[in-house]
Amino acid sequence: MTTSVHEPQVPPTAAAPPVDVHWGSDSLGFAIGDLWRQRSLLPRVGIRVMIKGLAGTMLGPFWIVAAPIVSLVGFGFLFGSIAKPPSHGVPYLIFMLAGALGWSAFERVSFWGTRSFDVYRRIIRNVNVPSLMVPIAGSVIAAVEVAMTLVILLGTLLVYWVIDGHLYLRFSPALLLAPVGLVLSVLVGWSVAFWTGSLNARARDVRLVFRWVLLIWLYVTPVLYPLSSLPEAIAALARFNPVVAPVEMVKEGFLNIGIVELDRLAVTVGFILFVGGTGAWFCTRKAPGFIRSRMGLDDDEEDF
Amino acid sequence: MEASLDPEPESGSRLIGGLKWEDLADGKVHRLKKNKHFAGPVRAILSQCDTAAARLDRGVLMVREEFSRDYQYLWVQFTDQQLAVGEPCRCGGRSQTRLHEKFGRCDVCGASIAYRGTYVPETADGAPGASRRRTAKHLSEYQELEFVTRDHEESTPEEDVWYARGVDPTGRRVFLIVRFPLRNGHRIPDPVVPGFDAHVAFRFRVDPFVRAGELGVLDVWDDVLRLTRRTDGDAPEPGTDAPRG
Repeated sequence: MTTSVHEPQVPPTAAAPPVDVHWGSDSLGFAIGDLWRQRSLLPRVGIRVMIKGLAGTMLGPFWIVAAPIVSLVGFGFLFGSIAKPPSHGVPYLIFMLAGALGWSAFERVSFWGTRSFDVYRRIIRNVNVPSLMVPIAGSVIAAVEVAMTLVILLGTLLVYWVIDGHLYLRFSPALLLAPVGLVLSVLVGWSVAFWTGSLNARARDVRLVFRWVLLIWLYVTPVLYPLSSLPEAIAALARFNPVVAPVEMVKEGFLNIGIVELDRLAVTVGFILFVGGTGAWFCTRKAPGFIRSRMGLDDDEEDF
Repeated sequence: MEASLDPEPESGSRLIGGLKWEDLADGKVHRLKKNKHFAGPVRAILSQCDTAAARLDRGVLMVREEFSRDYQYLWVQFTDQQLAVGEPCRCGGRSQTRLHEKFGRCDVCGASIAYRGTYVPETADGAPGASRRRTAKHLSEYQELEFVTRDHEESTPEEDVWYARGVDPTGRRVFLIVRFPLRNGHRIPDPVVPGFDAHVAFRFRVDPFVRAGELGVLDVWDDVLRLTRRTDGDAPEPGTDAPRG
Protein backbone atom coordinates (compact mmCIF):
# COMPACT_ATOMS: atom_id res chain seq x y z
CA MET A 1 0.00 0.00 0.00
CA THR A 2 1.40 3.31 -1.04
CA THR A 3 0.71 6.54 0.66
CA SER A 4 -0.59 9.37 -1.38
CA VAL A 5 0.92 12.74 -0.83
CA HIS A 6 -2.64 14.01 -0.65
CA GLU A 7 -3.57 11.65 2.14
CA PRO A 8 -4.24 13.58 5.35
CA GLN A 9 -1.24 13.52 7.59
CA VAL A 10 -1.25 14.03 11.32
CA PRO A 11 -0.04 17.60 11.73
CA PRO A 12 2.79 18.19 14.14
CA THR A 13 1.70 19.57 17.44
CA ALA A 14 1.70 23.33 17.46
CA ALA A 15 4.38 24.88 19.57
CA ALA A 16 3.00 25.49 23.04
CA PRO A 17 3.06 29.02 24.36
CA PRO A 18 5.95 29.82 26.66
CA VAL A 19 5.50 29.16 30.34
CA ASP A 20 4.64 32.28 32.26
CA VAL A 21 6.88 32.36 35.31
CA HIS A 22 6.12 35.51 37.26
CA TRP A 23 7.40 36.76 40.58
CA GLY A 24 4.82 36.88 43.31
CA SER A 25 4.19 36.43 46.98
CA ASP A 26 1.72 34.57 49.13
CA SER A 27 -1.41 36.21 50.44
CA LEU A 28 -1.40 37.15 54.12
CA GLY A 29 -3.95 34.44 54.86
CA PHE A 30 -1.85 31.78 53.18
CA ALA A 31 1.28 33.07 54.91
CA ILE A 32 -0.36 32.82 58.32
CA GLY A 33 -1.55 29.30 57.50
CA ASP A 34 1.93 28.34 56.32
CA LEU A 35 3.43 29.81 59.47
CA TRP A 36 1.11 27.68 61.58
CA ARG A 37 1.75 24.57 59.49
CA GLN A 38 5.50 24.89 59.93
CA ARG A 39 5.43 26.19 63.51
CA SER A 40 7.68 23.37 64.73
CA LEU A 41 10.44 24.92 62.64
CA LEU A 42 10.36 28.17 64.61
CA PRO A 43 12.67 27.23 67.52
CA ARG A 44 15.09 25.53 65.16
CA VAL A 45 15.39 28.60 63.00
CA GLY A 46 15.46 30.87 66.02
CA ILE A 47 18.15 29.10 68.00
CA ARG A 48 20.47 29.14 65.01
CA VAL A 49 21.73 32.62 65.91
CA MET A 50 22.66 31.48 69.37
CA ILE A 51 24.37 28.34 68.12
CA LYS A 52 26.32 30.33 65.58
CA GLY A 53 27.22 32.95 68.17
CA LEU A 54 28.41 30.44 70.74
CA ALA A 55 30.15 28.11 68.31
CA GLY A 56 33.28 30.23 68.20
CA THR A 57 33.57 30.90 71.94
CA MET A 58 35.53 29.02 74.60
CA LEU A 59 33.12 29.68 77.45
CA GLY A 60 30.04 28.84 75.39
CA PRO A 61 26.71 29.09 77.29
CA PHE A 62 28.42 31.03 80.09
CA TRP A 63 27.94 34.16 78.00
CA ILE A 64 24.18 33.69 77.94
CA VAL A 65 24.24 34.10 81.73
CA ALA A 66 27.11 36.51 82.16
CA ALA A 67 26.24 39.15 79.58
CA PRO A 68 22.86 40.23 81.02
CA ILE A 69 24.08 40.01 84.62
CA VAL A 70 26.98 42.32 83.96
CA SER A 71 24.99 44.80 81.91
CA LEU A 72 21.79 44.90 83.98
CA VAL A 73 23.15 44.66 87.51
CA GLY A 74 26.11 46.88 86.70
CA PHE A 75 23.92 49.48 85.03
CA GLY A 76 21.36 49.29 87.85
CA PHE A 77 23.91 49.94 90.58
CA LEU A 78 25.67 52.63 88.61
CA PHE A 79 22.57 54.55 87.49
CA GLY A 80 20.86 54.07 90.88
CA SER A 81 23.81 55.42 92.85
CA ILE A 82 24.53 58.35 90.52
CA ALA A 83 21.11 59.56 89.42
CA LYS A 84 19.22 58.32 92.47
CA PRO A 85 15.82 58.31 90.74
CA PRO A 86 12.69 57.65 92.85
CA SER A 87 11.68 54.01 92.95
CA HIS A 88 8.35 53.86 94.77
CA GLY A 89 9.86 52.54 97.99
CA VAL A 90 11.56 49.47 96.58
CA PRO A 91 15.33 49.16 96.09
CA TYR A 92 16.27 50.84 92.83
CA LEU A 93 17.89 47.72 91.43
CA ILE A 94 14.64 45.78 91.82
CA PHE A 95 12.63 48.67 90.41
CA MET A 96 14.91 48.93 87.40
CA LEU A 97 15.02 45.18 86.79
CA ALA A 98 11.21 44.90 86.82
CA GLY A 99 10.98 47.70 84.26
CA ALA A 100 13.83 46.21 82.25
CA LEU A 101 12.01 42.87 82.13
CA GLY A 102 8.95 44.40 80.46
CA TRP A 103 11.12 46.59 78.24
CA SER A 104 13.49 43.82 77.18
CA ALA A 105 10.60 41.67 75.96
CA PHE A 106 9.85 44.43 73.47
CA GLU A 107 13.38 45.62 72.82
CA ARG A 108 15.02 42.24 72.29
CA VAL A 109 12.17 40.96 70.11
CA SER A 110 12.19 44.04 67.90
CA PHE A 111 16.01 44.13 67.82
CA TRP A 112 16.42 40.54 66.66
CA GLY A 113 13.37 40.83 64.44
CA THR A 114 14.93 43.80 62.68
CA ARG A 115 18.11 41.85 62.01
CA SER A 116 16.31 38.61 61.23
CA PHE A 117 16.35 38.68 57.43
CA ASP A 118 20.11 39.29 57.64
CA VAL A 119 20.98 36.68 60.21
CA TYR A 120 18.86 33.99 58.58
CA ARG A 121 19.82 35.01 55.07
CA ARG A 122 21.66 31.83 54.22
CA ILE A 123 18.65 29.70 55.08
CA ILE A 124 15.95 31.84 53.55
CA ARG A 125 17.89 32.10 50.30
CA ASN A 126 18.05 28.35 49.92
CA VAL A 127 14.81 27.00 51.33
CA ASN A 128 11.37 28.55 51.44
CA VAL A 129 10.93 29.56 55.08
CA PRO A 130 7.56 31.29 55.63
CA SER A 131 8.18 35.05 55.47
CA LEU A 132 6.35 35.78 58.70
CA MET A 133 8.42 33.23 60.53
CA VAL A 134 11.67 35.10 59.96
CA PRO A 135 11.05 38.18 62.17
CA ILE A 136 9.26 36.00 64.71
CA ALA A 137 12.13 33.51 64.83
CA GLY A 138 14.30 36.27 66.22
CA SER A 139 12.13 36.07 69.33
CA VAL A 140 13.64 32.73 70.27
CA ILE A 141 16.97 34.20 71.20
CA ALA A 142 15.11 37.19 72.66
CA ALA A 143 13.13 34.79 74.84
CA VAL A 144 16.35 33.37 76.25
CA GLU A 145 17.61 36.85 77.02
CA VAL A 146 14.31 37.90 78.62
CA ALA A 147 14.29 34.70 80.65
CA MET A 148 17.74 35.60 81.92
CA THR A 149 16.45 39.03 82.96
CA LEU A 150 13.62 37.31 84.82
CA VAL A 151 16.08 35.01 86.57
CA ILE A 152 18.20 38.02 87.54
CA LEU A 153 15.10 39.82 88.87
CA LEU A 154 14.01 36.81 90.92
CA GLY A 155 17.56 36.30 92.18
CA THR A 156 17.79 39.94 93.22
CA LEU A 157 14.43 39.71 95.00
CA LEU A 158 15.79 36.68 96.84
CA VAL A 159 18.99 38.47 97.81
CA TYR A 160 17.07 41.46 99.15
CA TRP A 161 14.73 39.11 101.01
CA VAL A 162 17.73 37.62 102.77
CA ILE A 163 19.44 40.98 103.38
CA ASP A 164 16.43 43.19 104.20
CA GLY A 165 14.16 40.46 105.50
CA HIS A 166 11.47 41.83 103.22
CA LEU A 167 10.12 40.11 100.13
CA TYR A 168 9.24 42.76 97.58
CA LEU A 169 7.59 40.26 95.28
CA ARG A 170 3.83 40.44 95.59
CA PHE A 171 1.87 37.20 95.63
CA SER A 172 -1.69 37.98 94.56
CA PRO A 173 -3.92 37.49 91.52
CA ALA A 174 -2.46 40.75 90.22
CA LEU A 175 0.75 38.83 89.61
CA LEU A 176 -0.96 37.62 86.44
CA LEU A 177 -0.57 41.12 85.05
CA ALA A 178 3.15 40.41 84.63
CA PRO A 179 2.88 37.63 82.04
CA VAL A 180 0.11 39.53 80.25
CA GLY A 181 2.39 42.56 80.12
CA LEU A 182 5.22 40.43 78.76
CA VAL A 183 2.99 38.99 76.06
CA LEU A 184 1.84 42.48 75.05
CA SER A 185 5.46 43.62 74.97
CA VAL A 186 6.35 40.76 72.65
CA LEU A 187 3.39 41.56 70.39
CA VAL A 188 4.45 45.21 70.16
CA GLY A 189 7.96 43.97 69.35
CA TRP A 190 6.67 41.76 66.55
CA SER A 191 4.54 44.60 65.19
CA VAL A 192 7.62 46.77 64.88
CA ALA A 193 9.83 43.94 63.65
CA PHE A 194 7.51 43.08 60.74
CA TRP A 195 8.21 46.53 59.37
CA THR A 196 11.81 47.09 60.39
CA GLY A 197 12.87 43.54 59.54
CA SER A 198 11.37 43.77 56.06
CA LEU A 199 12.83 47.21 55.42
CA ASN A 200 16.21 46.11 56.75
CA ALA A 201 16.15 43.32 54.20
CA ARG A 202 16.13 46.09 51.60
CA ALA A 203 18.63 48.42 53.25
CA ARG A 204 20.74 47.79 56.32
CA ASP A 205 20.54 51.45 57.25
CA VAL A 206 17.32 50.55 59.02
CA ARG A 207 19.17 48.44 61.55
CA LEU A 208 21.62 51.21 62.30
CA VAL A 209 18.92 53.83 62.68
CA PHE A 210 16.77 51.50 64.76
CA ARG A 211 19.45 51.25 67.45
CA TRP A 212 19.12 54.96 68.06
CA VAL A 213 15.35 54.80 67.90
CA LEU A 214 15.40 52.14 70.60
CA LEU A 215 17.66 54.25 72.78
CA ILE A 216 15.35 57.24 72.53
CA TRP A 217 12.35 54.95 72.99
CA LEU A 218 13.86 53.70 76.26
CA TYR A 219 13.94 57.22 77.66
CA VAL A 220 10.22 57.75 77.04
CA THR A 221 9.42 54.46 78.75
CA PRO A 222 9.31 54.14 82.55
CA VAL A 223 12.18 51.72 82.90
CA LEU A 224 14.96 53.71 84.53
CA TYR A 225 12.63 56.06 86.38
CA PRO A 226 8.92 56.01 87.26
CA LEU A 227 6.30 57.41 84.94
CA SER A 228 5.60 60.22 87.40
CA SER A 229 9.20 61.44 87.10
CA LEU A 230 9.03 62.00 83.36
CA PRO A 231 9.28 65.65 82.28
CA GLU A 232 5.99 67.05 81.02
CA ALA A 233 6.96 67.05 77.36
CA ILE A 234 8.19 63.47 77.50
CA ALA A 235 5.19 62.41 79.57
CA ALA A 236 2.89 63.70 76.80
CA LEU A 237 4.88 61.68 74.28
CA ALA A 238 4.76 58.67 76.55
CA ARG A 239 0.97 58.66 76.38
CA PHE A 240 1.30 57.36 72.83
CA ASN A 241 4.07 54.95 73.68
CA PRO A 242 2.68 51.41 73.24
CA VAL A 243 5.36 49.92 75.49
CA VAL A 244 4.37 51.94 78.59
CA ALA A 245 1.31 49.85 79.47
CA PRO A 246 3.12 46.47 79.24
CA VAL A 247 6.05 47.74 81.31
CA GLU A 248 3.72 49.14 83.94
CA MET A 249 1.78 45.87 83.99
CA VAL A 250 4.96 43.93 84.70
CA LYS A 251 5.93 46.31 87.49
CA GLU A 252 2.43 46.24 88.94
CA GLY A 253 2.28 42.46 88.72
CA PHE A 254 5.58 41.80 90.45
CA LEU A 255 5.97 44.77 92.78
CA ASN A 256 2.62 46.57 92.99
CA ILE A 257 4.24 49.82 91.85
CA GLY A 258 2.92 50.14 88.29
CA ILE A 259 0.26 52.44 86.90
CA VAL A 260 -2.07 50.48 84.63
CA GLU A 261 -4.46 52.79 82.80
CA LEU A 262 -7.03 51.76 80.24
CA ASP A 263 -6.20 54.52 77.77
CA ARG A 264 -2.54 53.45 77.69
CA LEU A 265 -3.63 49.85 77.29
CA ALA A 266 -5.86 50.92 74.39
CA VAL A 267 -2.85 52.56 72.73
CA THR A 268 -0.93 49.31 73.06
CA VAL A 269 -3.72 47.13 71.68
CA GLY A 270 -4.43 49.60 68.88
CA PHE A 271 -0.75 49.68 67.98
CA ILE A 272 -0.58 45.89 67.83
CA LEU A 273 -3.70 45.63 65.69
CA PHE A 274 -2.83 48.39 63.25
CA VAL A 275 0.96 48.38 63.04
CA GLY A 276 1.18 44.63 63.55
CA GLY A 277 -1.53 43.87 60.99
CA THR A 278 -0.16 46.14 58.31
CA GLY A 279 3.37 45.01 59.17
CA ALA A 280 2.46 41.36 58.69
CA TRP A 281 0.94 42.21 55.32
CA PHE A 282 4.01 44.25 54.34
CA CYS A 283 6.36 41.51 55.45
CA THR A 284 4.49 38.87 53.48
CA ARG A 285 4.20 40.90 50.31
CA LYS A 286 7.43 42.86 50.20
CA ALA A 287 10.14 41.07 52.16
CA PRO A 288 10.68 38.29 49.57
CA GLY A 289 11.28 40.92 46.89
CA PHE A 290 13.63 42.85 49.14
CA ILE A 291 15.66 39.70 49.77
CA ARG A 292 15.88 39.02 46.05
CA SER A 293 16.97 42.58 45.40
CA ARG A 294 20.04 42.01 47.57
CA MET A 295 20.86 38.61 46.13
CA GLY A 296 24.57 38.16 45.74
CA LEU A 297 25.40 41.69 46.75
CA ASP A 298 26.50 41.17 50.28
CA ASP A 299 26.51 37.54 51.11
CA ASP A 300 29.96 36.34 51.94
CA GLU A 301 28.76 32.94 53.01
CA GLU A 302 29.26 29.98 50.77
CA ASP A 303 26.28 28.69 48.87
CA PHE A 304 26.09 25.62 46.80
CA MET B 1 22.73 -1.00 65.19
CA GLU B 2 23.65 -0.70 61.57
CA ALA B 3 20.75 -2.86 60.47
CA SER B 4 18.20 -0.39 61.79
CA LEU B 5 19.73 2.56 60.01
CA ASP B 6 18.40 4.05 56.84
CA PRO B 7 19.62 2.54 53.59
CA GLU B 8 22.32 3.92 51.29
CA PRO B 9 25.16 3.22 53.71
CA GLU B 10 27.57 2.74 50.85
CA SER B 11 28.10 6.47 50.49
CA GLY B 12 29.30 6.94 54.06
CA SER B 13 26.48 9.15 55.30
CA ARG B 14 23.04 8.02 56.32
CA LEU B 15 19.95 9.04 58.18
CA ILE B 16 19.80 7.66 61.70
CA GLY B 17 17.25 7.29 64.45
CA GLY B 18 14.74 5.57 62.20
CA LEU B 19 14.35 8.71 60.10
CA LYS B 20 13.53 8.14 56.43
CA TRP B 21 13.65 10.50 53.49
CA GLU B 22 9.98 9.74 52.94
CA ASP B 23 9.23 11.25 56.36
CA LEU B 24 10.81 14.49 55.27
CA ALA B 25 9.00 14.75 51.95
CA ASP B 26 6.03 16.65 53.36
CA GLY B 27 6.76 20.03 51.80
CA LYS B 28 7.93 21.53 55.08
CA VAL B 29 11.40 22.81 55.87
CA HIS B 30 13.35 20.40 58.09
CA ARG B 31 16.57 20.89 59.97
CA LEU B 32 18.70 17.78 60.31
CA LYS B 33 21.48 17.74 62.86
CA LYS B 34 24.61 15.68 62.53
CA ASN B 35 24.75 12.68 64.89
CA LYS B 36 21.11 13.21 65.78
CA HIS B 37 19.39 12.85 62.43
CA PHE B 38 22.24 11.75 60.22
CA ALA B 39 25.72 10.32 60.50
CA GLY B 40 28.69 11.09 58.32
CA PRO B 41 29.81 14.19 56.47
CA VAL B 42 27.19 16.81 55.65
CA ARG B 43 28.38 17.04 52.06
CA ALA B 44 27.76 13.33 51.58
CA ILE B 45 24.26 13.50 53.01
CA LEU B 46 23.55 16.30 50.53
CA SER B 47 24.08 14.02 47.58
CA GLN B 48 22.01 11.32 49.26
CA CYS B 49 19.23 13.84 49.66
CA ASP B 50 19.40 14.58 45.95
CA THR B 51 19.30 10.88 45.18
CA ALA B 52 16.33 10.42 47.49
CA ALA B 53 14.49 13.25 45.76
CA ALA B 54 15.04 11.57 42.40
CA ARG B 55 13.88 8.24 43.82
CA LEU B 56 10.75 9.84 45.30
CA ASP B 57 10.23 11.84 42.10
CA ARG B 58 10.31 15.08 44.04
CA GLY B 59 12.27 18.27 43.93
CA VAL B 60 14.45 19.29 46.82
CA LEU B 61 16.01 22.45 48.22
CA MET B 62 18.95 22.10 50.57
CA VAL B 63 21.48 24.13 52.44
CA ARG B 64 24.17 22.94 54.79
CA GLU B 65 25.54 24.76 57.78
CA GLU B 66 28.71 23.84 59.58
CA PHE B 67 29.39 26.12 62.53
CA SER B 68 31.83 23.76 64.22
CA ARG B 69 32.51 20.08 64.59
CA ASP B 70 29.58 19.70 66.97
CA TYR B 71 27.14 21.92 65.16
CA GLN B 72 26.57 20.71 61.63
CA TYR B 73 23.17 20.91 60.00
CA LEU B 74 21.36 20.22 56.80
CA TRP B 75 18.25 22.23 56.03
CA VAL B 76 16.08 20.42 53.55
CA GLN B 77 12.73 21.01 51.89
CA PHE B 78 11.16 18.59 49.44
CA THR B 79 8.78 19.93 46.82
CA ASP B 80 6.23 18.26 44.58
CA GLN B 81 8.50 18.52 41.58
CA GLN B 82 11.74 19.88 40.27
CA LEU B 83 11.62 22.02 37.15
CA ALA B 84 13.91 24.24 35.21
CA VAL B 85 12.76 27.83 35.03
CA GLY B 86 10.39 28.01 32.08
CA GLU B 87 9.49 24.33 32.12
CA PRO B 88 5.77 23.61 32.33
CA CYS B 89 4.27 21.96 35.39
CA ARG B 90 3.55 18.25 35.30
CA CYS B 91 -0.14 19.07 35.19
CA GLY B 92 0.51 20.93 31.94
CA GLY B 93 -0.07 24.29 33.59
CA ARG B 94 1.93 27.03 31.97
CA SER B 95 1.64 29.70 34.62
CA GLN B 96 3.79 29.64 37.72
CA THR B 97 4.28 32.04 40.59
CA ARG B 98 7.90 32.23 41.60
CA LEU B 99 7.99 33.01 45.31
CA HIS B 100 11.69 32.56 45.82
CA GLU B 101 14.83 32.23 43.71
CA LYS B 102 14.52 28.48 44.02
CA PHE B 103 10.87 27.91 44.89
CA GLY B 104 7.52 28.47 43.24
CA ARG B 105 4.03 27.15 42.78
CA CYS B 106 1.99 26.14 39.77
CA ASP B 107 -0.93 28.53 39.39
CA VAL B 108 -3.07 25.75 37.95
CA CYS B 109 -2.65 22.84 40.36
CA GLY B 110 -0.84 24.51 43.29
CA ALA B 111 2.04 22.02 43.22
CA SER B 112 5.24 23.29 44.79
CA ILE B 113 8.28 23.60 42.54
CA ALA B 114 12.02 23.53 43.19
CA TYR B 115 13.71 25.46 40.40
CA ARG B 116 17.05 24.39 38.99
CA GLY B 117 18.57 25.61 35.76
CA THR B 118 16.93 27.08 32.71
CA TYR B 119 14.58 25.23 30.41
CA VAL B 120 14.62 25.08 26.63
CA PRO B 121 11.64 23.20 25.20
CA GLU B 122 12.06 20.69 22.41
CA THR B 123 10.69 21.82 19.07
CA ALA B 124 9.06 19.60 16.47
CA ASP B 125 12.45 18.62 15.09
CA GLY B 126 13.83 17.72 18.49
CA ALA B 127 13.47 14.57 20.47
CA PRO B 128 9.88 13.93 21.48
CA GLY B 129 8.80 14.06 25.07
CA ALA B 130 11.11 16.51 26.75
CA SER B 131 12.60 14.96 29.82
CA ARG B 132 12.56 16.94 33.05
CA ARG B 133 16.03 15.63 33.80
CA ARG B 134 17.39 16.82 30.48
CA THR B 135 20.07 19.47 30.57
CA ALA B 136 18.54 22.79 29.68
CA LYS B 137 20.16 24.78 26.91
CA HIS B 138 21.74 27.90 28.21
CA LEU B 139 22.82 30.79 26.00
CA SER B 140 26.38 30.02 26.99
CA GLU B 141 26.13 26.79 24.99
CA TYR B 142 25.58 28.52 21.65
CA GLN B 143 28.29 29.62 19.25
CA GLU B 144 28.19 32.76 17.13
CA LEU B 145 25.36 34.06 19.25
CA GLU B 146 23.99 37.32 17.94
CA PHE B 147 21.07 39.26 19.30
CA VAL B 148 19.22 40.62 16.30
CA THR B 149 16.40 42.70 17.69
CA ARG B 150 14.27 43.32 20.71
CA ASP B 151 10.58 42.49 20.45
CA HIS B 152 9.10 45.75 21.67
CA GLU B 153 5.50 44.53 21.53
CA GLU B 154 6.14 41.37 23.50
CA SER B 155 8.45 43.00 26.04
CA THR B 156 6.87 44.17 29.27
CA PRO B 157 8.17 45.89 32.42
CA GLU B 158 8.59 42.39 33.86
CA GLU B 159 10.17 40.73 30.87
CA ASP B 160 12.49 41.66 28.02
CA VAL B 161 12.05 39.62 24.82
CA TRP B 162 14.80 39.35 22.22
CA TYR B 163 15.31 37.51 18.96
CA ALA B 164 18.71 36.02 18.45
CA ARG B 165 20.51 33.59 16.21
CA GLY B 166 23.41 31.24 16.66
CA VAL B 167 24.73 27.72 16.27
CA ASP B 168 23.58 25.15 18.77
CA PRO B 169 25.85 22.58 20.45
CA THR B 170 25.13 20.05 17.69
CA GLY B 171 26.30 22.49 15.03
CA ARG B 172 22.85 23.36 13.67
CA ARG B 173 21.82 26.90 12.94
CA VAL B 174 19.01 28.08 15.18
CA PHE B 175 17.14 31.20 15.93
CA LEU B 176 16.20 31.92 19.48
CA ILE B 177 13.48 33.74 21.33
CA VAL B 178 15.06 34.77 24.60
CA ARG B 179 13.02 36.01 27.51
CA PHE B 180 14.83 37.91 30.26
CA PRO B 181 12.91 38.39 33.51
CA LEU B 182 13.33 41.93 34.80
CA ARG B 183 13.56 43.24 38.30
CA ASN B 184 13.01 46.96 38.73
CA GLY B 185 13.47 47.29 34.98
CA HIS B 186 16.85 45.57 34.98
CA ARG B 187 17.90 42.09 34.02
CA ILE B 188 18.86 39.70 36.77
CA PRO B 189 22.39 38.32 36.76
CA ASP B 190 22.38 34.59 36.15
CA PRO B 191 23.14 33.00 39.51
CA VAL B 192 24.69 29.96 37.81
CA VAL B 193 26.64 31.22 34.82
CA PRO B 194 28.62 34.41 35.46
CA GLY B 195 28.51 37.00 32.72
CA PHE B 196 24.99 36.11 31.63
CA ASP B 197 21.61 37.37 32.64
CA ALA B 198 18.91 35.00 33.84
CA HIS B 199 16.82 33.95 30.85
CA VAL B 200 14.62 31.40 29.19
CA ALA B 201 15.72 30.60 25.62
CA PHE B 202 13.43 28.96 23.07
CA ARG B 203 15.37 27.61 20.13
CA PHE B 204 14.11 26.82 16.65
CA ARG B 205 16.30 25.13 14.09
CA VAL B 206 16.49 27.14 10.93
CA ASP B 207 17.06 24.30 8.44
CA PRO B 208 13.46 23.01 8.27
CA PHE B 209 12.16 26.51 7.68
CA VAL B 210 14.65 27.11 4.91
CA ARG B 211 13.71 23.80 3.31
CA ALA B 212 10.02 24.57 3.77
CA GLY B 213 10.60 27.83 1.96
CA GLU B 214 12.39 26.07 -0.88
CA LEU B 215 9.51 23.61 -1.24
CA GLY B 216 6.94 26.38 -1.23
CA VAL B 217 5.28 25.07 1.88
CA LEU B 218 4.99 28.52 3.32
CA ASP B 219 3.39 29.83 0.12
CA VAL B 220 0.10 28.07 0.81
CA TRP B 221 -0.64 30.47 3.65
CA ASP B 222 -1.35 34.03 2.73
CA ASP B 223 -0.76 35.26 6.26
CA VAL B 224 2.88 34.19 6.31
CA LEU B 225 5.11 37.18 5.85
CA ARG B 226 7.40 36.84 2.89
CA LEU B 227 11.07 37.13 3.61
CA THR B 228 12.54 40.30 2.22
CA ARG B 229 16.09 41.43 2.10
CA ARG B 230 16.93 43.48 5.13
CA THR B 231 17.56 47.13 4.66
CA ASP B 232 19.47 49.48 6.87
CA GLY B 233 16.20 50.63 8.36
CA ASP B 234 15.62 47.20 9.82
CA ALA B 235 18.74 47.27 11.93
CA PRO B 236 18.31 47.16 15.68
CA GLU B 237 17.82 50.51 17.29
CA PRO B 238 21.08 52.03 18.38
CA GLY B 239 21.38 52.32 22.11
CA THR B 240 19.18 49.37 22.92
CA ASP B 241 20.75 47.37 25.67
CA ALA B 242 21.79 44.21 23.88
CA PRO B 243 21.93 41.30 26.29
CA ARG B 244 25.15 39.76 27.40
CA GLY B 245 26.07 36.53 25.78
